[in-house]
Amino acid sequence: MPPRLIAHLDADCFYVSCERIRSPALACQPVGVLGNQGACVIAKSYEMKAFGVKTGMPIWDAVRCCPQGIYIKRDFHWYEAISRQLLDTLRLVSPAVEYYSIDEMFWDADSLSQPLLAASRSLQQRILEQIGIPVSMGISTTKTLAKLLSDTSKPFGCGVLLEPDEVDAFLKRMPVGEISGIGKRSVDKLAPHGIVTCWDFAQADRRLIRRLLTVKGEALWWELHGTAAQPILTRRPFHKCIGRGGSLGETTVDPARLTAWLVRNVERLIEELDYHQVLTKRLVLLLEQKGTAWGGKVTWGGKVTLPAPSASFHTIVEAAKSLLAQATVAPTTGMEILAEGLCLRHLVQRSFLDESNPRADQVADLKQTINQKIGRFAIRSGDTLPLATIYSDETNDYDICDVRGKICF
Amino acid sequence: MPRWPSSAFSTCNMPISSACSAPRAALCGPCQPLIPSLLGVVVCAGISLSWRELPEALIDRHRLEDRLVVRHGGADREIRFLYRDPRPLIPAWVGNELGIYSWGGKGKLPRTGWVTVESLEAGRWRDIAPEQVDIPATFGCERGIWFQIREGLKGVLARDENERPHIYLLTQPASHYYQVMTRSSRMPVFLGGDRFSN
Repeated sequence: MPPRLIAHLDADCFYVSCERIRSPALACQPVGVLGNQGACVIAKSYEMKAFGVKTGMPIWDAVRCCPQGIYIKRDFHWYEAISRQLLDTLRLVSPAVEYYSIDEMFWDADSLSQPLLAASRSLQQRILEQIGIPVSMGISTTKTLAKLLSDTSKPFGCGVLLEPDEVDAFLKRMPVGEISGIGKRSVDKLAPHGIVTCWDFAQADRRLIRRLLTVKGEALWWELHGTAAQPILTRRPFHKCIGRGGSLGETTVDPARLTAWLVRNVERLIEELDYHQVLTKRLVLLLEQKGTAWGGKVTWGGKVTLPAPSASFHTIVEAAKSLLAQATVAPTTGMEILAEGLCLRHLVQRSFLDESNPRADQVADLKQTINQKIGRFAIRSGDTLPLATIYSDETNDYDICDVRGKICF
Repeated sequence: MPRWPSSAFSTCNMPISSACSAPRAALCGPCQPLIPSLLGVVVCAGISLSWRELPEALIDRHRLEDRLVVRHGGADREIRFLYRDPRPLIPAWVGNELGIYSWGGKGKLPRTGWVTVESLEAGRWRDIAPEQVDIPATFGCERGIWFQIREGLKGVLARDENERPHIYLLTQPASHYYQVMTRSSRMPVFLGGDRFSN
């Protein structure tokens, strides 16, 4: 039986709030959390936001906007620990909690006492006192409405949206792009049809919405009408795709360094394929590169289908290298490797055509055994030697993708 | 109730100096470009300490209320120690006692505020016989970028010909992360193996 009430919890400035728990000197300060290689701001406090610093801004631009800002290296181990405390707290008050992202959760709010606003404020206060994280909450009849409400209640806000006339008034003042799942492209598709606000979206013909935005858009239409078309997912569904990569923290055309990054990302990808016990049929390589004549960034992409579903390091790294060899030679700033066409290992029928390399597989198994005993990347491919300084920093070993069980990615 | 009148606090909104053409040598504070001879060895030329970390007696004795800043409304007060100050000072634990000392050498001591780990290990400071000290700090400033310091920094104390103590900040080759963050090839030595170090 789906819940009648759905709540959305969203931590305020989550990374900064986590850092403030262990460093009280950061309270009320303009704080920026830096990404993997220290080059960009990946999260900021409201104080820093007021100076015009945006997420993704290079640190040098951020410092120009906010000379008094304090910069901190990200620590996903710590953020995961706090995130799981939030999750555990919600699981005490709700029978169904969705671990949507590291700082957002949906949950069944039927068991909240009345009045709802007071109960949610009490929970909000309890989280602040016990964990130290300020959160905003929204309660409504669907996930989409609850999330819209919590987003607009920030910071440290609470809202309940149940009465039809209140829902209508709320939707009338919300731009359609505020809906989670409606990005700029969708906004541009809707605009020629006069759909600018969430109210316009809800009032539009459902079939038009389906035509423009597929069944996903149609589900959002139902959600805005108060019908829960998106259930609370208490477990992460089977991955359609697993990816690893990110910013290189540098701009390089050096083939040795690019290969090193490639192999590093492949090794991390294999770890994840092993964890989920899946094989991949297809690899995609994406390179973020600097545009040539006009500046800006371009993305090069390449795809290869493997001879057979595989999670073999030897097979995948050779396939990835072949993609890299095809890539445009240009200053590269980021890289992502995606494993698509995933299938569960125990469901795959082996074939006589499978290309196996027993010796390479033995080496890979030995590497895995040693790394599980001694530590991640204790043994790694020689191709990664150019990245010795990256590996020598242990905090580079753990990325947000490594926080498992989240729905979003 | 604040200990000092509100006029003692300044909300520091100093812009980064862009006057110096050398890469990122500007400092937060009363901004003047650094003199070229120091550019090669300047590392973390400013630290900041929460005012709660210093006893009142020390603050009064060294008139540190002049160095109080509030970075942003509502934030805690900090006491700033910049090498560029007319009277460069730095806090340090010497033995078990916290004191405020002259930052950098004078007289016959090396006229700098820093000493490299390599030079110490090579014995080049043997005649000066420096002793290791801990420097408490909440934030550090490298080329205009303020970063968090978890426990503090390492330094050495050397005495001049009049036995007056002077503190030098210890430096080491910068970690990859510190280099990307600050574009500095060297960094301070952090107490407790700070996250910026390898």
